[in-house]
Amino acid sequence: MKNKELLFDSFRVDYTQIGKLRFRVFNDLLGAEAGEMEQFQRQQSQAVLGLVSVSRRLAEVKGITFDEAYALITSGDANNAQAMMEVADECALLMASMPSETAMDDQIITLMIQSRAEIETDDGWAPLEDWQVADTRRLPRGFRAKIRAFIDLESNGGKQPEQPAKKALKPVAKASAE
Amino acid sequence: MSPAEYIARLRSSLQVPPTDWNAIYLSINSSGFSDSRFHADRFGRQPCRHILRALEEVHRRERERTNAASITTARLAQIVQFAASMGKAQGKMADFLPYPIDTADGRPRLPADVATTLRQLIQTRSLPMAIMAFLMEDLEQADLLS
Repeated sequence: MKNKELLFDSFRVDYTQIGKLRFRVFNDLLGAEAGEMEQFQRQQSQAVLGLVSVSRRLAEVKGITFDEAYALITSGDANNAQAMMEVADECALLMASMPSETAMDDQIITLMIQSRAEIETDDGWAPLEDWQVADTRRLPRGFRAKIRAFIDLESNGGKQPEQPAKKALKPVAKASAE
Repeated sequence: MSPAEYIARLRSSLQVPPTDWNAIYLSINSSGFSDSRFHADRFGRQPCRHILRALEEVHRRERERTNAASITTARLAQIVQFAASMGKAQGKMADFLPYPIDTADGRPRLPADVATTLRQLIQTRSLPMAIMAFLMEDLEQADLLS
């Protein structure tokens, strides 16, 4: 056993095949991927907290419950625009700062392909280090979903992640009403 | 998790400063850790657990180096304390080191060159009995009394 294998765990590389690409499996995120994920998670956390804050203010201004205010803001229904006039500026700021889920996926999938994916060529497997976001945007939706599932698996230590509870913020109204 | 707990968790997660990857890179690469996979062109392409393991190792070695550099001062402090208390204080040298000792039994290891010197002093009967008594714990640990 080499010294580096005493310090770190095994350097044997496993692969998983997705379409015509194979991805190195570590049961962990790589440093660059973890940095990108952390940045997205922070942006998302800030966006959710901003949404909660705007919903509370709208609830106060309109004299409605937090739940109703939250539903108004997140529904995306154009008919609600009039009701949201009081918080329009805050909503606009919030929307501008909120990262789009597709953009986040584009980034993380691109990074994943750059750092882990290989494609079979006549000379064997070749890395795809020059893969760009524009290339990711051209991938079929089903293929992206499979890579996304692989990312979730890797970020969960190789175990299937638990399904997140739907409408996690729904009971906030109960909490704030109490 | 209740929504209120979820919001509190989001808030507390944002209070923690983001991971400083530049600092991690500098820590690893300025420590003499020569594994090429952690160099600038490859950094960030290792699993996080390997980066954390390398960082732990770097910090452990830093602590060890700092402790080793402080042994003389710690020993002196121990002697001063012993003398000032008229022989009543029985503080350990490890108490005066900047970091806790990492050895399995929590006791300081005598550096190899010091052990060699002490062995020679004992063999040539040049070590005064008073000093030998004072160093008894270290001598026993380094197996120098057999």
